[in-house]
Amino acid sequence: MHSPMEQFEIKRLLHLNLFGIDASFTNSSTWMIIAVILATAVFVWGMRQRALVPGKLQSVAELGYEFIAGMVRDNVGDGGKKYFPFILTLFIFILFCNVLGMVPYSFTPTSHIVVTFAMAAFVFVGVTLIGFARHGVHFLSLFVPKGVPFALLLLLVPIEIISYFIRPFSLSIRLFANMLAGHTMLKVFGGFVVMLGIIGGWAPLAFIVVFTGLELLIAFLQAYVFAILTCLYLNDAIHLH
Amino acid sequence: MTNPPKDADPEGVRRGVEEMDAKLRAARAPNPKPRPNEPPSNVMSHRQTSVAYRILVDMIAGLLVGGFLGYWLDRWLGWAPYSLVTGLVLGFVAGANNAWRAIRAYSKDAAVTGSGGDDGNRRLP
Repeated sequence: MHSPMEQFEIKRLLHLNLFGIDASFTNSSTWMIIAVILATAVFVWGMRQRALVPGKLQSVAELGYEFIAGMVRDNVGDGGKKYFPFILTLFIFILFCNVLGMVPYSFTPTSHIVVTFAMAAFVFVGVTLIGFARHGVHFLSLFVPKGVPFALLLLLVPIEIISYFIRPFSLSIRLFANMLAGHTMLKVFGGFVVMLGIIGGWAPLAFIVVFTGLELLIAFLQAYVFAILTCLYLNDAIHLH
Repeated sequence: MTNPPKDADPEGVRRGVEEMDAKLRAARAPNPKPRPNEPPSNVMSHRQTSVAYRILVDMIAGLLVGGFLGYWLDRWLGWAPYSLVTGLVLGFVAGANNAWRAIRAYSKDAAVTGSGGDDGNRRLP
């Protein structure tokens, strides 16, 4: 029987070597591209009529847009409008990767920490640069808690700095661990169905059905959490609490 | 004219719009509050679950980052095992600090909305 981790294996589909770096086109890249194409299709094709009363696909596109627009408005405020396209793209990409991963025989790019960490690191570096661009050196006051005696600052400032640097790690681990754990769990219980056969296999099968629903919720939830934490970090950088 | 344009009867159109308005209002009205004598649901709301997950990962990531930093300093400067221990402690405290911030933001939100549970669709988790 296949191991439950086999589904996460990276397979090179097109060998490519760029200046000594292995840049092969893999199954992970394929599914990322499928996610991008599908997401673009939903938005571009869904909005093609620009109807006042939206059809099905246009409703989906508008819902996604308004959901993120509301999130940015509530969590970042006026200064966040500029960054709305980025957050919408991030959210839709993660959502499509997660949900496409639920299709049997597909691959979930977001179950690999290298993918999630690349996104989290981009957010982290971007937010830090925005903070410095907006506030200059004053941005460093983010690390100095207010109303604390000087002696305690010697202890608190390093802790605040480490807290800040933990952000990209917790952001990426959260998404990756959720996707990895969920898919492994599904596969393990799938193995139980086969092992227990026609007599006992119904119980794990019923569990899989329920768990698939939960996984769909988690696929959405994790995309949401990634987007809202990006908003919160952006808010910190723009408004300096 | 067998098929008059729709706005030939403005009175009817207005009545239709008003009916539609009433329907929309009814559909948009917030769900009725749970009756006070009903026992509180023991199923955690999505929002609470997601905050709990956030806190868990925050603390684990803190330990990981602190531990890795300390381990790397040990290897680099040969301070074993002091920087590993310091790194783990600092990482734990920093992770707890992040978790504490998440909890504080959540409880502030909960105090505003009153229930601490789900507050509509927009901010579901």
